[in-house]
Amino acid sequence: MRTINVARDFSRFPAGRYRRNGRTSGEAFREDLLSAPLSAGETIVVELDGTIGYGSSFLEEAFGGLVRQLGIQPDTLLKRITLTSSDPTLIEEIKGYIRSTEKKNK
Amino acid sequence: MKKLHHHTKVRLLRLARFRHAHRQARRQYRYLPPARRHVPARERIVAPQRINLTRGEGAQLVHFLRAVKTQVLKRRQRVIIDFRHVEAVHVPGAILLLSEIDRIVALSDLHKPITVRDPRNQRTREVLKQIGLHELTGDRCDITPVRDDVVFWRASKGADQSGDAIGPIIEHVAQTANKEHAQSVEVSGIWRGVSEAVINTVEHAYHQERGDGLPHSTATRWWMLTQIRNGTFTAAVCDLGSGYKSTVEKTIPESFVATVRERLLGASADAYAIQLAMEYGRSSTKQSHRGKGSRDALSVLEGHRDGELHILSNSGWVRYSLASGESPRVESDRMDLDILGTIIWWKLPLMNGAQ
Repeated sequence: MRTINVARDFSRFPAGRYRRNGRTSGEAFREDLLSAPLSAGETIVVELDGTIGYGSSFLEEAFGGLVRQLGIQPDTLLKRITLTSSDPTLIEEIKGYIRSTEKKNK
Repeated sequence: MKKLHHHTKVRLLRLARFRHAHRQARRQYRYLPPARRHVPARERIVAPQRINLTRGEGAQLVHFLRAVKTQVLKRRQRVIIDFRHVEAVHVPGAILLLSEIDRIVALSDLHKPITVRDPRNQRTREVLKQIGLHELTGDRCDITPVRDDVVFWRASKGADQSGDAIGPIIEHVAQTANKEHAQSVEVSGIWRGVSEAVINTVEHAYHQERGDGLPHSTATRWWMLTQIRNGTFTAAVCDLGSGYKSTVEKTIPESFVATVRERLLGASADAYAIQLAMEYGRSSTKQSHRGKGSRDALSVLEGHRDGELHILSNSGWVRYSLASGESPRVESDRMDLDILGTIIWWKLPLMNGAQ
């Protein structure tokens, strides 16, 4: 199991959707830190505390984008990713993005 | 003594008069070294007394900025901007001033196209120094802002969405606000709204021409200003793009518009477009998983449970006001001016209702 702390391992100021628009984007976070271990079958823990905050574009691209990019079923993805945060609404928001990607792909 | 002939007297008199007139004429001209004798004089353009966009004060500011733009970019002449009579600077006016001057200087091929003449008012002079206007124009200003209501002005600008450019400023100003005021600024909420506003400018604002007949300068796409004053935290993001109307026209289907038409306030096409974007939550890329950024702007108010959100786009404005325990109140109207861009700003009170 791998633990990824967003503030420590990526940026304290995550913002933006695509890599072309900045190095702290959701696409960069997904491709640089999430895709490889998930593709290899690992389970990961993502620690969300410690950053200044999250925009919806970042979260949707980072986590909803996993379903689009890797083709993993949302239920499978949710079993292999554990999200930790002092803000439970943030966790629910991310899960919502993952599940809503499933509905769009159906 | 020999008596002078009449003709000699007349000649000497004419010579004396000529020399007197020449001396008088020379006094009117400032001495210029030879290298500068053929430099044309600069046009002096007087700034309005109040740098603001609300309360009916926007027209003067917009006309003033257009005069500067016309003189520098179309007539290719240097200008002196006379701020001596400026008495007050407010955030929406300040961010438009900063962004327009930055763009004019970037687009001009003149050396030092704009010179600033500082305000007489000490506070406004410190504000212009604090937000970096003199750095844009290359002017020297030796004052150091010390006033409590000035030192918390912070300005930033950029061309991409990277959080590194915006984050430290938001964090610093919010921490300062939280240290000195009773009610805290919810930093993560502000971050969500501000960063999404910046994303929207980079992604959507510059797909079309701005409409002022000038090319867009690609060096900077967004400007940001934060301020703490009189117990209020203000953050503003500005772009000089094509506005909400041109974006939503392409993306929002008529079927959705029909469902919300009656609910939206339609005094102006631009104000209508702003509200459509807030309601629809979709972006210009026609992909349904995108475009929640507009709603994030409103979530800042909901997280703080108090405050105002203003969105100005071209010639329309929408204001969302929230007081504790109530639903957001929406007001909308058209302006008698066109800012040729979009400004989003939040005003969050830092004192509780008892104070």
